[in-house]
Amino acid sequence: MADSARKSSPVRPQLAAVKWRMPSSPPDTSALDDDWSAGPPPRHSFIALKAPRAKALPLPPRMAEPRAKPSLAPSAVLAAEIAYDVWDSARAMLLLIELPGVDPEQAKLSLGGHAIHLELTVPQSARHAGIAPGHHELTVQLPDGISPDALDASFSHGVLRVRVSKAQAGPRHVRIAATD
Amino acid sequence: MTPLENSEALPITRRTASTSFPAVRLTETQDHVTIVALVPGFRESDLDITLVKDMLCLSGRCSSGVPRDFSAVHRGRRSGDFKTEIKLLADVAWSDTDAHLERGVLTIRLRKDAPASRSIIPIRLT
Repeated sequence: MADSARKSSPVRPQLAAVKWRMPSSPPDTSALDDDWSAGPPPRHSFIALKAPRAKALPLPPRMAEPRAKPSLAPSAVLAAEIAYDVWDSARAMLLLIELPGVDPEQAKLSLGGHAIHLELTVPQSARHAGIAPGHHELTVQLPDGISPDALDASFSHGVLRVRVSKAQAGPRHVRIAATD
Repeated sequence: MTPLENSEALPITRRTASTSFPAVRLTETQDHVTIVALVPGFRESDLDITLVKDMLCLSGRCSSGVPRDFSAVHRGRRSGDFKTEIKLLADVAWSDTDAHLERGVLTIRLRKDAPASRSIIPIRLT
């Protein structure tokens, strides 16, 4: 059932802190056993050539010495993905989706194609939002054999609670009212 | 209030929790320290905040609100009881404490001035 609860990867926000820049100088290859400074060996020798083996490099200072202080960057508290639970019973399914600090007006919930779809847009100006700014999507597939005929959603204490009632399986007894 | 993003410039805190739940963010200005914790699903009555000298203790009791006849199919939320301690500056006294819970985000604001004493910070819902 865990496979049926599929979550689409959210669109990662554009963070200036994760931008990479190519180094202007060539990488230092002095740590390698094989000296290729005069150029690569002849192509035919690749058959018997062992792969370059890196020497034991010292750990960078950040890894060698544990940091005494926690990371206090503001982004450390933001969740890049939306955490959720799926609960099931004979009569209904229950989804609990964590949206801390999010205005429920920014969330759009839809039901179709045996799936519950949540779209969420967190603006950059959102103060104390627990979800990273940007556009997020979450799709939870409903299991086969149920046809949801009712959807009920509420938002409380930063948790979106979605209840999907299941259609009654088996024959439904309909009472015939006599009119004459 | 301008959050200080350079952690090296902050002599503030050391967190002593064994887990990373809840996520906590600390910011500091010249007069205040603000602590923001993500506690979605927790109500005011589930949380307990205590400031003893330079140690801020934050604890929560889980209340999932899921009926008994439901069984878990997928669990991605990090829930459960928690207790975390945040060590603040040792040579600073705190006063004018304030905390509020809004949409699963707990914000605690401490002001640095008066002598510290044992106190329990009330949480008011805004």
